[in-house]
Order: sequence, then structure tokens, then C-alpha cells
Amino acid sequence: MKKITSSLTLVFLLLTAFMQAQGTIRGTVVDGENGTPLPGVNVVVEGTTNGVSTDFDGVFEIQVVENTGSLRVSYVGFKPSTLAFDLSGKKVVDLGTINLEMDSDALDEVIVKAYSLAIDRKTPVAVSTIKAETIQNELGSQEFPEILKTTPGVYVTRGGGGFGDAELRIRGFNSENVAVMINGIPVNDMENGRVYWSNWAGLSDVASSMQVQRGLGAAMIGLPSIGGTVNIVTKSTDIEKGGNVMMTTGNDGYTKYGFKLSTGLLENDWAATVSLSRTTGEQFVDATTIDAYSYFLNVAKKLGDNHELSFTAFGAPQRHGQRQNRLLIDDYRRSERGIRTNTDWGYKNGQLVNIEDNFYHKPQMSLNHYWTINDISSLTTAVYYSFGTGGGGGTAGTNKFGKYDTNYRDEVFGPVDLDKIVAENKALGQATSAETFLRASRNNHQWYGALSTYNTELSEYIDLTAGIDLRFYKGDHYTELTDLLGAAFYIDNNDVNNPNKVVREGDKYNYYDTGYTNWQGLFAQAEYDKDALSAVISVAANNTSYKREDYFKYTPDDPLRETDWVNFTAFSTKGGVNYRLDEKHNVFGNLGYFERAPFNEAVFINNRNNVNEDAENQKIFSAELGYGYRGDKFRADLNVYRTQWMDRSYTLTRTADNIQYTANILGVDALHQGVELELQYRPVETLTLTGMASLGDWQWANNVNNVQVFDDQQNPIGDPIDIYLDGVKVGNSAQTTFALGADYAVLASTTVRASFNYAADYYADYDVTGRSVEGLPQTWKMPDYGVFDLGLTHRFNFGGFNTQINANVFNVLGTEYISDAQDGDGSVAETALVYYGPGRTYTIGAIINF
Amino acid sequence: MKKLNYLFTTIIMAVLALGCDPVEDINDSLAENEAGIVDEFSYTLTEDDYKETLGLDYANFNTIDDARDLIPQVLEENFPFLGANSLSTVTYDLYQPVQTERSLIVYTVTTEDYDSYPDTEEFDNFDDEDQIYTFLDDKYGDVDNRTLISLTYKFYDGSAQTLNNGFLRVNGSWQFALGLTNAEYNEVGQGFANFNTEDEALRKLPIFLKDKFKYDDVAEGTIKSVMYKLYTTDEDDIDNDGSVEDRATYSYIANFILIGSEWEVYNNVVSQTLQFGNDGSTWIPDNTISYSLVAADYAFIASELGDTYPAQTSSMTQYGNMDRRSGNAAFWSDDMILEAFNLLLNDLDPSAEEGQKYAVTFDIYNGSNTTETFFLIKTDGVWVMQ
Repeated sequence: MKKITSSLTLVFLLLTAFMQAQGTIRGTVVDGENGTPLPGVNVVVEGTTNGVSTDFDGVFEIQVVENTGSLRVSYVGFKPSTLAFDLSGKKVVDLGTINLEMDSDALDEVIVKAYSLAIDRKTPVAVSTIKAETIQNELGSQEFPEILKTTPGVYVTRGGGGFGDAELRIRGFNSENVAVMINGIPVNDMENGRVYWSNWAGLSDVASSMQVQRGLGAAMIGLPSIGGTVNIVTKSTDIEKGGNVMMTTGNDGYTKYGFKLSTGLLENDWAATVSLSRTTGEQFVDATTIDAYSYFLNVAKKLGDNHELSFTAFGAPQRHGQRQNRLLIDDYRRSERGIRTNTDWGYKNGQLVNIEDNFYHKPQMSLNHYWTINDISSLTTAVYYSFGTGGGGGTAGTNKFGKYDTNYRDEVFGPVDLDKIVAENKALGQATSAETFLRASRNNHQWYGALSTYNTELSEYIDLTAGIDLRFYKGDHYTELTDLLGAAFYIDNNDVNNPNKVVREGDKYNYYDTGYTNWQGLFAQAEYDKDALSAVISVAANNTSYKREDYFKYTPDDPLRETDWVNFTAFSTKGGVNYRLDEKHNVFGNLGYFERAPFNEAVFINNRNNVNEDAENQKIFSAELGYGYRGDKFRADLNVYRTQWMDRSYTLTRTADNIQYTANILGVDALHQGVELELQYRPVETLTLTGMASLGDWQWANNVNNVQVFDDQQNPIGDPIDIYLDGVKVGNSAQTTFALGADYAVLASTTVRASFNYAADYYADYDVTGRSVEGLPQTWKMPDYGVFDLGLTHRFNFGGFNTQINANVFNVLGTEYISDAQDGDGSVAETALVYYGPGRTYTIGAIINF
Repeated sequence: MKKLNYLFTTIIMAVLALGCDPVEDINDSLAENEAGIVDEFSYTLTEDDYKETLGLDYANFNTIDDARDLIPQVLEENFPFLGANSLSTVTYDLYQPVQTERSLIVYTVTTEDYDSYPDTEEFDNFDDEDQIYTFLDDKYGDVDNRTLISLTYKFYDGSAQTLNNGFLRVNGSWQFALGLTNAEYNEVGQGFANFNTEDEALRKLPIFLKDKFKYDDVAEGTIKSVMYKLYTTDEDDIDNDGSVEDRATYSYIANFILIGSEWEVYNNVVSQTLQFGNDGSTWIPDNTISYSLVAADYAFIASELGDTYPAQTSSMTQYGNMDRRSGNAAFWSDDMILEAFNLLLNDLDPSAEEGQKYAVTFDIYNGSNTTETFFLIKTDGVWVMQ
């Protein structure tokens, strides 16, 4: 250990730019309220550019050339503090513990409320918060939600491994059941509930914190918080003046560079932040190319003491290669490319072509108004607009892309010979419809919203919050022909208004419709906080309306072409109590019931304008108990939860001979319960150990009998079927996870990190509606696995600039593990279709602050 | 610090123990039970296969039995990675020598000859091939084996023609060798009724044969013997006159084989094919027929088994495939499919011999649309899994 420490010290001494120092000032910055160390705090010698940040333990050490002066200590959400120092006659001065007080300026508190952030030892929910510093130092080339992997109840997968294709699952619930909010604005897709992380690629650069609230969460508005809620808060006027340039490089050509510039709050009460970045290269999986930009702009203005306006716009235009087809374990074993194997790409004219890709740009703009009405009341309002353009590429026509098809690949799993497909299209003649071509499933949408929250103190101890939440969403869906592969056209017969339509590149074909979603929500919350007790109760009601217009399946005079609005009214209520036993111990409990409108696809089944009259709200009941301990060296959080999903509805759809068969499966119940533990231990100042354990028991709770299948004319087909689910494990998320981490400050300027994440009791995903025979085995249980990561952060002064190097190696041991599986015949390993998680990857990056 | 070291050591050991290779056991078991790669392909033996792999002197086999015995070695050497149920159609060369002879006896049938037979007495020509052979038997029945008779005779086939053809005495019977008429020599560009060199003959005769049989349905691989004449120096004293310097016209036989649409000089090997199947350890001559189900077959199965398996057959009729998700009500088990294929194969190939093998490929749905193949063999009159 000592030897390693010495050699590391030597290495970093060599790396460190040597400065003529007068002396050294040390100190530890903590949260004045609870003594928690604050990492990432800016410490600057006033009147100079000489500055450092505190490490994970709140410790800083700064070399100064002046004998006397003052240090300015500042941190997001806290009041800055200025401390004088006098070095005369000393080489080292220890300022001891510096307490930063929460910023009493109302702004941050307003944000905390408006953004539905949970407050430690007050909000009665299970929560883990990731600070900006952690994101900056440890994320590397990982997907943004992967920073949450060391928190309990969370399972993050990269899916096929393409850039931004990650999925975040909490407590066994898929992404459509995990609410994501950015600055208090919901971003789950209005039609299918999903979150596409590639849309938010730049946020990791400007996030000031990321909070994951498990279970009901602290949000007041109607959200799909069945598994939990993720709150991402970006930096705003609270940011310090300055900026940085950063550059990161990694495995497989991964390169990211960018810069960030903030004016800080100017004399004229304006503040602006701009951030830009560019990412190129590839991910670990073959041909998962990245071509992405990200931008972020925030302009804020204080209008007197009581008003602040803030405009934020951000987005991440990108195109990335995907892996969309899972393979058998045996395929990976046989393939030359091993776990990197991707069968969804090929060559055309010597150029790599991603047969499956994704391209999207979804700028999100919001104008926020914070109004401190008086000492006891405030109103925050956000109006926002977001529009998305893009889609996902894939194949069409005769399938020549089979993974074993050596007619079109040099070898099984090898790249597809697109030139041969082009030649075959050409050989058919230029007066023949394309045989095989490429298309994109387009999804362009517009989303307008307004969210207004009024907060007032009813009495010294009771706060009342109420608000309104309006959303309107219009989504255009169509197939676009993107590459004819040598043919001159394609003849499509799916548009009843244009039989034998000649389709060329860029034209719409196959389907074209618009879905409209209208949402009106009201919410109110009362909060009591006195002495040791805080309690909260909230209610919300919302109305979701869907309408669908179809331009291809119906003629203009067909009354079915545009449906009426279909309404679903849903209520929710939740409440909780937190009791602070003493300075160190607290306990909390919460209870909630909420309803959720069915998704668009369950209302308009088979993408037709026949309204599914049986579509029902889904109902969720959740209860939770928790305990927290905050000691000097030790922190712990323990909680148990029970989430009961009642009347979960499914729509079974099957297609054959262009006839679609459907069935409504109502009344499916699921029960997710478990225990979560999070620990932090700091035996010495320089070392922090963290631990997490999450034990889940997630099962389906009943069988459903007499499900009738219908054809597209609503005629019953065959005898009713039964679905056998009682006691079947929920798949798609590891039910047991634990993590261990260590963070060790080798030197004041240098921190090394190690973390280990373990996943077990992980069942393959499966089609719930397919279990129509009694006595089937559990779905395939994937092998347990553990992944080990290492990281290093080193700060030094580089020509007067506060510079930081971050190096991370993910999956150091190159463990080959299955991260996702689709259950196969007989529920065994041999038939499961799987994705492997990434092998060993690394990033090394530098951030130069100014 | 010491306690911390213990803690670290424990953590690192736990990491190494837990983080190793989670999928190792599955991969090992897959490797153990590896079915091998299955392929169905055609292969033509190369010179290296005969000479290097098999150590033969010539790039052909002497007998078909040799081919059956030796080709598996070639397949094993060239395709060691292919496993059970692979099929290979192998093309190889078989040595089948056909002798080329030189003329020994030149004879023109005389009026007296015709007159000595009642059938030919009246018109002084032959009008039936049997008459020629009767004449040859009588006149040359006692010649040495492999003696060639260059016979000029009149033949009536609608009109009377003068023909010159060769008849080779082989083990007591006559082998016919097509000769060229004078007119035909003229047609192939010869001023006299002969060729000047062997090369010229071998170059022109294929063209001649192609033209002569252009309206006939000649099977590929047919070998024709042609008797041609050369005006040459009798270096070998073919005519037994004691002189090797005399120049005269001699007759020779050359053999030609039809390959594709061309006649080629037959070099005493014929191309043959044999199918071999891999049984998991070695290649054996195989009779497997590969068959993919067509729409009519699904309809046949549905009509035969509709009452027995209503859910399975109605799903199959709707989707045009067999549901292979074991969780589903319409699931086709292996036994059900075997039952269906027994009915189907007995209908398609009722006279299949005992031991006949089939590789039956059919469409399935297992979450995605794909295919599956069953390997069946007729045993005791029933189709069973191989």
C-alpha cells in the first residue's frame, strides 16, 4: 500500500506543474446545517485566478504566493464565505472546518420546491443525490443515467450499446414507469412514456445535481413515478463567473471536447451561461458510431428583488449507429468479434453504413419566472416548448440481413454486403419496384407546456403549494424511405388515397398519422414542519385526452380519419411523515395511491382509429418506511417499500397475413417489494467508503382468465385464453444489486476511486401475454455478475489555470456479462437472445477552468 | 490503517471472486454440446485432394467404391469444422478407359456379299443394322480381340447411302465407331476423305459431332467413338506389310464425350457425383433429401390434424407457421411436429425406401419469424428423428 502510494505520489509530482509557493492553506468545507462535507466547492484567492476545488471530502489545499489575503469559498445553493488568511512566519495554515450556510436568498428554495427536489431529513422519500462534481469526474464515456448505478434499486443498461440508447429501470419498473424531470419539467414521451437519453446528451456537462427519488417521490405534478423519479437540475444564475474547456478521449476513438462559459451575476443583474460540446468516435460495440453535438444556453435576469426571469434552451442533435438485434449467447461465442458483435451494419461503396441507426434533435426551451410575492409567498411559472425531429433507421422489403446469411455477408455475423443488394436491385431494372431498401421510422413532435406553482406559508409551520400543469403534444408518425439501394423507386399500397404510390427517397410510405395528447393537471400540497416533525400531504388530478388522425388508412371523407378526443381522468394522493429522533437519527414513512391513463397504443390498438373502449386507468398503491442516520463519520439510509400495481393493462397484438389480432388483458397485478440500504463511512479524512445493497422481490400476483382475442374487425377469434402469471418473477431488471466504493485522497490534489457493482436475480424479459399455458418454468435467470471500475482525479495549476485530469477505466477486469436478455424457447440460456454489457473501456479527460 | 488494509483485501478478493466470468459455464456447455457448423454445399475434388490428401498417383478414382471409401477423408481434411447433418454433393473423376484402335482390316462389302444373304440379295444393300453384324460375324468372327474393321457398305434408310464406319471386335461382340462419309470429310474442309494429322482430326471432330447431332437428344456424358482416317506414314506397320515407310490412309478411333453442349476428347475419366452426409463424427454416403414446407403442406397438416390439435393448427393456418413458444396455447411440441411430418412425408413420398433421410425445414414463430429444420429417417416404415 505504502509503496503504491509513494509511486503514485511520484507520478503526480511529475505531472504537477511546479509553482513557487509562499505557503499552503488547508481547510475542510462542510454543510453548515448537518456537517456533511461538500465536494467541488470553489476556493479562490480573492483578486487572483488562483483557485482549487474541494475534494470528495470537502478538503482543499491551496498554494498561495501572497503572505496575507482572503479566500473566497463558494458553492451552488450556499452563501459564499470569505476568510482572511495570514501566512507570516508559517508555511502551512489550517483554516479547519469552514461551515457554509444554505443560501437564504429565496431563489434556491424556490427552485428546490419548483423542481420537486427532496430535502435530506425533511422530505419523507427514499432519495440519493449525485453532485455535479461526481458527474464531472466519474461519468466519462458512460451513459448519463449510469452515474446512478451505485444507488439502490436502480438498474441501468446500455441496451444495444449505441450512444444514448441506455435505459434506466428502478425497482423493477421499466423506463416508462420512471419519471424524468429536467428543471422541474417532465420529459417522458407523452405517447409511450419512454425517455431517450440521446436527446439529453449535453446535460451531464451542465447538471448541478441529479437526484433519484425512489418510489412515490417528492413531485406534486402527475408523473409516472411508479419506480421512481429522476430530477436533473442544470446550472443557472447560481453559477460562478468563469468557465472551462474540456477534452476527453477514450476507447474506440471516443472523443469529446467542449467549453462552458458563465458570466456569473453581472452588475446589471443579468447572467448567462453557454455550453457547447462535440462527441465523435464509437462506443464499445462494433459500428456504434457517434456524431453528436450538444448545446446549452441559459440567460437570466433579476428584475428587482422579487422577480427573476430565466430562459433556458438546450438540445443535442445527433446521429448514432445502433445494435438493434440481440443475438444468442452461442452467436457471440462463435463470432470473431465476440461480445462486440453487431450484425446491424454493412458496407456500401466502401463506406460504413449503419443499417439500424437513430438520428434525433429535440431542442427544449423554457422560460421560467420566479416571483417572490412577499415574505411568505412565491409563484414560479415555466412555459416550455420542445420539438423533436428524427427517427430510427432500419430495413424494408425482402430481408437480406439475416445474421447467418452468407449470401450477403462474407461470413456469419460479418458486415452486410450492401453493394450486392444494390446490384440486385439494379439487375431487376430501373422500371421495377425496389426489392430491398432502407427506411426510417419517423417520429416528429411538438410539445407545449406550462407549469405554475404557487407557494405560501399558511402559518409559521404550514406551507401550502398549489399549481397547474398543462401539456399539449402533437406527434407525427410515418415511415420515410431513406435509401433505395440502387433502385429507382418503390411501389407502396398502404395509402388508400394513393394506390400504387411511387415512393422515392425522402417520401412517406407505409403509415402516416398524427397523435394528439392533451393534459390538464391540478395539484396541491400542504407541508408541516415544526421541531422534530415534518409531514406532507398532496393531491393531484389530471385529465389526459388522446386523439388520432390517420392520413393513409382512411380517405378524407371517412369519418374515421380523425377520432374524437378520448378522455381519461386520473387522481392521485400521497402523504408522508418524517420524524427527526435527534441530531443523528430520523425515520420516515409515506403512502400513496395514484392512477395513470393508459398509453396511446392501448387506446388506438393496432395503430387504427378504432377506440379501445376497454382501455382503463392503471392503479398503483405504494407504501414505504425509512430510517436515516447522519453521524460524523458514518451515514446510513435504510428503507423498505411495497408497490402494488393493480389492474395493470396489456394489449396483446399479433400480426399475421396483414391481419392484426388483439386482446385486452385487464386486471394483471404485480407486487414489487424490497429493502434498500445505502452507507457512507469516512474512517479518516482522506478515505470515504460507500456501500449499497438492494434486495427486491418483484413478482406478478395473479392469473387472468377468459381473455378473448379479436381480429381487426372486432370479431372474436377462437376460444378465450388464460394468462398464467401468478408467482412469475418480473424480468428485465436485476432484483438483487449491491455496490462497494472507495474514494481515497492520495494527495490533497489527487484522488483515486474504485467501485464494484454486482447484480443478481436477474430474469430475462418476456412477453407477459405469451404465458398462456399453465405450469411454465420461471423465465431464464441470467448469470450473476460484478463489474469493477477504477478512477483517478488529479488537480493542478496549469499556467495559472485550475486544471483537472479525470481518468476512468470501466470494467477493469473485462468481465463478459449479459446485461439484457429476451427469454427464449424453454427459458434456457441456449435460446435466450441477449446483449452483453461493454467490456473494458476507458476515458481520460482534462478540464481547464478559468 | 491496518484494519483498512484487511478491508481492502477482503473487497478485492470479493471482487475477483465475483467479477470473473459470469457466462463461462454457459459458454463451456455450449462448446461441449456444439452441434458443429451445418452446411449444405457442393464440392469438386481438386488435384491436391487426389494426390496430396489421398496419396493417389492420378487425379481420379478407379471405381465408384474407391470414391465412396476415400472421399470422406477429403471432406474431413477440408471441412473439419462442419458437424452433424451437413451435406455435401461431391463431384469427382472416375477412370473409365475406352481404347483407341488403329485400323487393321479395310473392307468394302461386295455385291457377292449382299447376294449371299436372302435379306440383302434383291437390292444389294443393308437396310437393318442386324444384317451388318450378321455379315461381320460370318466374315470376321474369328479375328483377334480388339481388331478394328473399317467397313464401307451401302445402307438403305429412305435412300441408299454409302457409309464407312468402324466395328471393333471386343470380347466377342462388335462395338460401333462412327465414321465419316466422303461428303462429311468435304464438309469439315478436307479435300480428300481423310485428315492430315491427328491434331487436325481431334480439333475438327467435336465440331463435326456437334453439327451432326444438333437435332438429336443426346444425354450429357454420352461417349461416342469416332473412326477417322489419316493419310500418314505407317511408322508402326499397322498393315503388317513389313514396311514402316509406306504412306497410306489408315483408320483410327477417337472417343468424345458430351459435356454441356460441347463434345470433348474423352480422356478416359468421367465426372460423377455422390452425396455425403456428416453423422457427427464422419462423412458417409448419404441420401438425404432437403425439403422446405410450402403453403399446401401446412394446409395438409391442418386438415389431417385439425381435430387432434385445434389450437395449434388454427394458429398455423392463420400465421402460416408453427408456434414454438413453449408458453403458448398454440405451441407445437417436437412430438406433435414429428406426428405431422409422418403424415406429410407419407403423403409426399409414399414409396420412400427404408433408410431414406429427409431434412425438413419449416417456418416457425418463437417471438420472431424464423425457420427450424427436423432431420428424419425412415425406420421400420416410420419417420423418426435421426
